[in-house]
Amino acid sequence: MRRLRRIPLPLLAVLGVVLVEGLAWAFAVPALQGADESAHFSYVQKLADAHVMPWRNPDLGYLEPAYPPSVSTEQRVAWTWAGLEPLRGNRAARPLWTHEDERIWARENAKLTPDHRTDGAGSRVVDNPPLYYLTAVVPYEIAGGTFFDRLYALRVYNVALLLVAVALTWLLAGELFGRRRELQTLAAAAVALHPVLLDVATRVTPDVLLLTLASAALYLMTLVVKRGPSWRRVAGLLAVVAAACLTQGRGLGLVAPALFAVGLGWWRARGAPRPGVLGRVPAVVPWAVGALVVLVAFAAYATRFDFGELAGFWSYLWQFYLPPLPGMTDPIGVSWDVENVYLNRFFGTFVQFEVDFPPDLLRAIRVAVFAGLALLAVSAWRHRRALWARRDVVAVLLVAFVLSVLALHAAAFRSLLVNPADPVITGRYLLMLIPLYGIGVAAAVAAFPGRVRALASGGLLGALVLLQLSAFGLVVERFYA
Amino acid sequence: MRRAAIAGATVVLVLGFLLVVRPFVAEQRPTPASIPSPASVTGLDTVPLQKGHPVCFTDVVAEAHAERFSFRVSTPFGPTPELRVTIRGGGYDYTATIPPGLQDGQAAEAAIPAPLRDIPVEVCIRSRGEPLIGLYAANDRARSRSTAVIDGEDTNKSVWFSFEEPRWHAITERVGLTIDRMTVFRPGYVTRGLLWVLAALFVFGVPVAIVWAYVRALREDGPRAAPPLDVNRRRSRWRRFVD
Repeated sequence: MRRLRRIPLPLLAVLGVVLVEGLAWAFAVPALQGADESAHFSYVQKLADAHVMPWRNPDLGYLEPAYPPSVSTEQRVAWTWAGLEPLRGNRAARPLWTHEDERIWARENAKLTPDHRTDGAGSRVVDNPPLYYLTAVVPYEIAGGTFFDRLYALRVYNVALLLVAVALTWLLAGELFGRRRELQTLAAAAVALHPVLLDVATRVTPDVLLLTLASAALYLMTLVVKRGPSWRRVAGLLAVVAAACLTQGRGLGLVAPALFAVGLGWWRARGAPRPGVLGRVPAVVPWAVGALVVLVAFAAYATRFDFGELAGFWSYLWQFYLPPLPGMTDPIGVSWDVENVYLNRFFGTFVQFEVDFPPDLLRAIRVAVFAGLALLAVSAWRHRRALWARRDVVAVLLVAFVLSVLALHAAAFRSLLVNPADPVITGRYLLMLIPLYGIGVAAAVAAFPGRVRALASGGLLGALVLLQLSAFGLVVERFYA
Repeated sequence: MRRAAIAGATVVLVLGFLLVVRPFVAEQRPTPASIPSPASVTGLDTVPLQKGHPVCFTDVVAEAHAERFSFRVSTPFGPTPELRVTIRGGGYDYTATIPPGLQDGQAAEAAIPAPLRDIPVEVCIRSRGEPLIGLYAANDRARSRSTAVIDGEDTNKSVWFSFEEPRWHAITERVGLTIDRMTVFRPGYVTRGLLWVLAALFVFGVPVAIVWAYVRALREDGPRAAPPLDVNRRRSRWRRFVD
């Protein structure tokens, strides 16, 4: 109880908001309606019920998650007899919502034996690293009971992970803004009210553990550069980054930023260079070598070691964000750019992508994003002295953002070389950097002085609440109206 | 500062509720009572319906609000003959007649008396004449558990079939019913009571808690050291507001 009292009240209030929203999203959306939720559940089921680590099926190769043998018979019975598969991504469908429907499913489910929980063949999701699924076995086993008891237990587990991510955003904001409760609250609230985050995080998916670990990594990176690279901090950071890599392949994008943070922390803590050969090497050299190594690593990964594709990667990257330069050819893959990823998919697409914000609202969000970026620039100028005093933390967070996004693009380009039809990169993938979004919102509002800032912050929080309610309302309408 | 924050949030929330939320939840929408077999996701398919060979499907639940049903016909050889739809099960037995003359792709609809409660029924659709027609059906992942059977043979396709309420409703008119429906296929602890509490907290508690958190944070930060004011210098209204 004493520990609870030590938690700042504004943070407790924001966490309360996350809990309410998280449970509401988790229970309102019918089972298995999240992206690849069936496949993620079947991975946990294979671990928990069959006590088997699922690997790619040697006979069947990659199975699509929607292909029936990829999941257990128990899940297939739920697909059909609880009406979950006809509902998935199908706006013409509504859930089977009477207790008679439940009885019909229970009649069929009662015919199953324990073996029917373990016979799923697995899908391409089994290529994911296992950490999330291993941790999810705990709530799965605790819940026991029916298929639905276990599935919703996993969703509630994800809500708990989301609470941790929001608390870490608060801590990270504290390191950057110097424990200013106002800005910490704004950063945490912006994350807590992000509509797509709530939609994604309340399904069975490893993405929520990834974003929680990424939040922890960002926080530890700031500690390493701000308070010095003690072995505990460095070990903690490396452990968290390793855990992120073992949760989802996208966690690899945190490796280079973490090494940068450790390097910067060590360099800052080292003080004046010692006499000798190393002391005479200009400081810029090791950084330049490090940057070169990282860029070559990204290029090699993105091009599948075919450096002839480098021009294509550069063209793809440039045209993702900016109009083509003279002489540039069309980039590889389908037309998919910054607006799709950073706006439409990051703010306004829900469930199986069949629910989205109306175009008017997306246009308003777009204006707000540009206004926010302009305010961010004004704020940076206004607070340039404070920023300079915390330049290490700012540098680490910027590098983390740039390298993580670059890693996503490298992975996307690598995949596009094989399958140009799938753009791979989507707004959901940016959620691992969600604390930076919260910090960006708080920093933008800090452009305003005194009471104007309070007025603007109040208005912004009101707008974010409306955005959250709108997203939830649209999803409820899709399933129940 | 705190008053300014509350004022900013209140203005946006009130305007938002009046201009966005209220019209959205008050809009009248067509209301399905239950959709046992939805339309396909990819592609079109049909099951044949000809005189003497009824199309039947079971494990359909007629919801207590169902006062109409609807399915879609494919008529490549001319308008439909008269159709009869029998809905039977759990003490409910009703046959509706659909007059001839439906064109290709049109919905066949008829009124039915609402069941006293939700009941599992069997639906049989009969053709009373020529020509051969088709009933739109799902053969993809939208295929439901209620697959169509003709002369004892399972077609492995589910006829697009829905029960509807007779008039349109607003979301606000259906909050209680929606919450009831959200308890189905959920763990036992997801009760109506829990969902009502969550709904109330979401709609009313979240805005209050977020604004309270921010106001409380302003209070915890305390008054920031401001430069001493020069009382001899005239300050504009804007400056006085900002400071």
